[in-house]
Amino acid sequence: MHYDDTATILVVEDDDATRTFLADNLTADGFELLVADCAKDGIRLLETKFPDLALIDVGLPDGSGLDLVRRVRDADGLASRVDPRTPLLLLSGRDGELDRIRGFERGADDYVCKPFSYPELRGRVGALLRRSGQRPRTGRVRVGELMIDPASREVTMRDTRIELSAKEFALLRTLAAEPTRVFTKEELLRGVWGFRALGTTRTLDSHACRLRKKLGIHGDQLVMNVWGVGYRLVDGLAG
Amino acid sequence: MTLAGWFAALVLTVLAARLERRARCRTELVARACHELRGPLTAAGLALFSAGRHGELPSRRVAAVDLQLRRAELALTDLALAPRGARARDRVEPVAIAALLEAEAESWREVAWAHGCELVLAAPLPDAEVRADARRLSQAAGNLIANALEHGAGTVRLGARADRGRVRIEVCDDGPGLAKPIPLLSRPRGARGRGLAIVADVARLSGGALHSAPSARGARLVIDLPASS
Repeated sequence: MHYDDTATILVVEDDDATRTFLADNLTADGFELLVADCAKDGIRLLETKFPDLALIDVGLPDGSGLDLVRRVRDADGLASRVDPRTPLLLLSGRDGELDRIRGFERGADDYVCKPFSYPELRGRVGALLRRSGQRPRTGRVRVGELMIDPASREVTMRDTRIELSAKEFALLRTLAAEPTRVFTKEELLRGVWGFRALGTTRTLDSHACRLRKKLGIHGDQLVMNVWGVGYRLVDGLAG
Repeated sequence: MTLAGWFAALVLTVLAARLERRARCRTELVARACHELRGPLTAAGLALFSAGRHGELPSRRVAAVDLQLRRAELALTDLALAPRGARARDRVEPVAIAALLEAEAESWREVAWAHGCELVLAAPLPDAEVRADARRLSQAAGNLIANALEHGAGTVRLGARADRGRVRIEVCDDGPGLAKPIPLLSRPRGARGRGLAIVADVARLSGGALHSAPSARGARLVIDLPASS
């Protein structure tokens, strides 16, 4: 996880060699990479990691990349945590006019036929990221009565606005990405504070404590301490 | 219509339906084969780009393999369009002959060695350009080199000359020479004869011609093209 301006690209591609070499080249070009080899993992990463752009193969083992595109576009950004405005580029072995039209109709922003030239694909990725530069980088996240809007950095709990410091907000955003997962202290220190080596956890603990207190304004129990391991946002997903 | 007439019409209808079904089946097989080829070509292209940027391959080797991959991609598109009686649209652009032949020599040098031949790039190469699709020219030069390695012997020389608005790509070998004139050799005979037919087509569609030239020994084949002004 990262919090700088480096764009994060999700590659959903079932062919191992294509996925590996595509990720290798994009990483060498300075992008942060997320990879998935099926539609199910692709949608999970879209829901939890909020990539800035996704490259999606049309032929996936558990469904069509076209359906994945439609699922993203149909998301409301509220109940679903997928950002419906995520730029999507389809990769396909089908280069017919009808195939391309179908891809655009489902909501793809671009369509590239295999085999493609990497420099051309890189150019298209750059163009899409430039065009999407005005949009908020991620969609709103809802966990029970908690609402997080990364664009405005606004957090509300049962419609009450909560004021958070930058680090408290970053910590909350990380925990909310996978609300029931236990994040280790090392993960949180590295992701939120950028610590390379594991240092004192007192800073993390004090921020977590303040965050818990602020979010508990109406008595809700959030930011759970898992002793000896780290933190998770909630014990179980609230409705 | 008589009973025999009805029967003949029925037989013809059944035969026509069967032929159409077979044609559809062939088209589907071609489409599937093309689809299956796209994945490996994509992965190979990405791997090559990655190897080039990480310095795992010299740049001239990357350029040579990249040209061969683009040639394979062109053949794939030709194959996909063949059932419709079409072929890939050419990307006509100025092509530097020296760079093209250097990439071809780099691609074929080790193949020549495996055939017990030596492939030599004749110097100096002209500083000339032609307007053509580089992938088609690679097809043409590659087929001439492959023919020379298969039917010729000893040293295969690849070179070019530019003179009075023309560019001539030459492939010479030390073999027994051409058995027949080019028009006869470029008529497909079973599995053979396609290479020269492809070369002749590429030369013609690029505004030139394929011909043989006098040689002290072996064959000397020339692709004669208009130089770009």
